[in-house]
Amino acid sequence: MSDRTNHDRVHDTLTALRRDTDGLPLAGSAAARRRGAQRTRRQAVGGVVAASVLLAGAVGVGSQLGGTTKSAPIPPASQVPTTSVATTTPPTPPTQTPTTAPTQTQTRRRPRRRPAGAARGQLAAAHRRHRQDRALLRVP
Amino acid sequence: VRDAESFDAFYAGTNRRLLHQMYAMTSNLSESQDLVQEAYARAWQRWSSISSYDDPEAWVRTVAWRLAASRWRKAKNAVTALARHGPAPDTPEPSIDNVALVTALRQIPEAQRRAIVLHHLVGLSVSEVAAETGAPEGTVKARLSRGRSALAELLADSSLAPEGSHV
Repeated sequence: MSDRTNHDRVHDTLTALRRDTDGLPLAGSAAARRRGAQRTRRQAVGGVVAASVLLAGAVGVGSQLGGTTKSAPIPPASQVPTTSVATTTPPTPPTQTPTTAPTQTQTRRRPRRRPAGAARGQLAAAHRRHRQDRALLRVP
Repeated sequence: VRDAESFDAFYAGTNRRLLHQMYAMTSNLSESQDLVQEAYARAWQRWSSISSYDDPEAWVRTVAWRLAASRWRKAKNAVTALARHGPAPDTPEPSIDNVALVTALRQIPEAQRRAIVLHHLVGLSVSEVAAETGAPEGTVKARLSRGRSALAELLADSSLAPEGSHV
């Protein structure tokens, strides 16, 4: 019996709060529906924006990855000076240019056979040019 | 159109009751007003499924409570918003008789306040309160007992205090 009374007392105490809410203006159901529809629209727009951002990110990453695979292979660093210097200095260094190297190595090998006369002078001139070319190649 | 009609009927039949319950749970008139309205808006978003529930009112009440809990966690944002916009207009002051009760309700823990409102005001049984709050029945009983004791002490009303196991 006392349990029931106690329950009623708490119930009555809380029910008294009803008087405060009775005077409270509430928006109608149409306002709630409008608010719900607005939420739905915002969520849809947010979803589209999020999907667009994700898609743009994926495309960006994909293009970066694709770009590296499709681009022409970068030549080795040792060959770059050869091509650039070759345009400015006609005689290319013998050690780094396969096309000119054989002829120069042949001229270098000839002195081992001890050539005489004019051939020796030509060989010395070729050596000078070679040293000059190498000096030019060291210039950054 | 049928959905709108059933929603309007549901709204008309439950909004004052839910507002009262949320006011008792939050002890804040304007906050409970906005929470209830937001919960109804969310109910309308999925009304086709919620309308088939056994108790759509419980769904709205639970959503309103979760929104309240979420807002309490973001209390800092609320203070900032209040400073920026000022208090909500057209919100009547609580009656003088209820000021002490509202003040007392604010001082007890949220979980106890919720259990007391659901059990004593909404009229749910302990097991139903446990189902709605997701807490074990023993926990609900403890919250009810402690909440009533705290309320009785704060209101200096011994009749509210629990007498043994009366849940």
